[in-house]
Amino acid sequence: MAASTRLEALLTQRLGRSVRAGEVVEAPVDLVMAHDATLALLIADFERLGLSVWDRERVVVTCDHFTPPARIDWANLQKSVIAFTARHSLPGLRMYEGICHQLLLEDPRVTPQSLVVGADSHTTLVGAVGGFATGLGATDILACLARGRTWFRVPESIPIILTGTRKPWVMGRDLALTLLAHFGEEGASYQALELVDHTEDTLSMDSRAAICCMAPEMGAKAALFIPDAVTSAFLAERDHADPLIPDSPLYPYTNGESLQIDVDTVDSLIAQPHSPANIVPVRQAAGVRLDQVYLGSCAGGRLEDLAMAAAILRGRRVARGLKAIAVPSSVTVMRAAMARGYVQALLDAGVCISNPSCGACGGIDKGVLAHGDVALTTTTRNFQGRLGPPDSAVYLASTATCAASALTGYITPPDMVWEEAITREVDHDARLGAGR
Amino acid sequence: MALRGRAHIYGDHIDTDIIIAARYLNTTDPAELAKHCMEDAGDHFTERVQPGDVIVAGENFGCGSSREHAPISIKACGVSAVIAKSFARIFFRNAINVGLPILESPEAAAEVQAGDEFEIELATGVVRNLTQGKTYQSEPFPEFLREIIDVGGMVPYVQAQLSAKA
Repeated sequence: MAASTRLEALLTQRLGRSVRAGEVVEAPVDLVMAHDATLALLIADFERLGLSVWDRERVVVTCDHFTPPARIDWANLQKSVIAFTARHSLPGLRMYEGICHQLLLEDPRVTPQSLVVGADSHTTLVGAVGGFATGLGATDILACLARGRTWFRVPESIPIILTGTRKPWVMGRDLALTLLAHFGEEGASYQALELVDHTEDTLSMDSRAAICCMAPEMGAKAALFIPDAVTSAFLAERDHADPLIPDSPLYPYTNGESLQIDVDTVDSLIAQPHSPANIVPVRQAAGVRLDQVYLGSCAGGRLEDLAMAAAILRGRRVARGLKAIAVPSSVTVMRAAMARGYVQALLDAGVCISNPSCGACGGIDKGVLAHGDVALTTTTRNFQGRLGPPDSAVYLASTATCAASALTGYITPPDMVWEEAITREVDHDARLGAGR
Repeated sequence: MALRGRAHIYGDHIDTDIIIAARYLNTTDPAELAKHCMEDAGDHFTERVQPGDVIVAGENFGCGSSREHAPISIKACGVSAVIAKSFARIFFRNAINVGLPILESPEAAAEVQAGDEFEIELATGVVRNLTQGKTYQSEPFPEFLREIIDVGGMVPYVQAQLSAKA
């Protein structure tokens, strides 16, 4: 019997037998990722058990959470992680090169056929190129490092068909918030989102990554885009080679609900404190006074985001007294943003550019909030206390909404500051490949 | 073996930042993590919790980050089990892996009052609210997960597998 979802097809191919949603399977993985904050948890057990790494070439270890460390205890944790990679001769240590999930997206070993696990919930981002990627806890990762395999309950897949034409300021992040408004915090629990992009202009790989990144906020185990021409173009440029993308059949999706989203109907959305699923149109939250605007994290901070921010802020200044911070998601992204003048435009507008890292997203690194602060960010979560003390508040929105709001110092719908020149610049950047 | 303790009640979507805030990810020591468990819930949980107590919560308990610090901090507080209407998927795996018993029982979670005394049989999934005199049946774990739980978590499980091979 033919697979009814892409995930069933991927696992069927991998295990060499027919696999169905609902089954519990043990499967070999292609890559295992862990970072400085989560790997530190498993080092002592791993070495006490005398384990060795199953395949040194298939492990990615990132230093991105404490980057560089601002406190002695974080420096100590990171030191233990660096030393672990040295003791086990792991060539995959990525020092201060960017956010783990973004580095996986940029890694030629990640393909539409990949099965990737990472010790971080937002590993789902990697599904943007079409494979199966999910987050696990430290102990599951410990077992994966030793065995190169792990167990999964094969998730049911929810097909999501995107059609229509986006408004120029509507980004992938707004579609992620559309899905969050639909599913709530657990509406996709234990399931996978399989997205089909039939929109007029097609979504960039950066926008797809932003959508897949936010899947765990809906409870989902994984999210993926069915590989298409955008995937091929992205892989060709990334790998300097013709990608091998097999034709993706139209899966019947016999299980679960399906969802059709006409992006014509989508305008800028915002998640209000303290839940990523507490969604309203930006217009409804407009006028809230802001202490900080933060562009970055694995849900933002990519080239398309920096291009959008630069297009909106070029030749203008952020509001007086506002803490405006941008953190590129990787060194590769930052280099491209410098080459294209985005970094210069943001600096000229009064935005502080920090080094590629997870930054303030987890309330750990530079850019944490003060008591009573209200922030608007492109980060992944706005749980109470996520970016600072429990009495701070975080709103989540697209880079376009964040950049527009940085100009005024108040939550501002991007179309209120929009000009035809911005559309031209964004279109020009897209043709240059920003976000592909 | 039955677990026994008094209930501490929490609502829906208790996320991992509430369970253990990221500012405390500066240590991997369970005793240190236990000191800050549920801190941002603002209800002085660590001052009230007694060894053996149970947490009874609503839907999607443990949503958010993959941080294993969350079930570790709960277990290190002396909590013997978490009963919830439902659990977030990474927390579900992490709890099993660190040996924190968890049970899904929407009925038990809906009817609980603060301070109710519970008795739990993990092998059968039977949950008793002794204070109210009610018994609930939760789904026992599938066999392969019980193997992991029976040996005390994923680390001893891997250890056993390795020594079996040797």
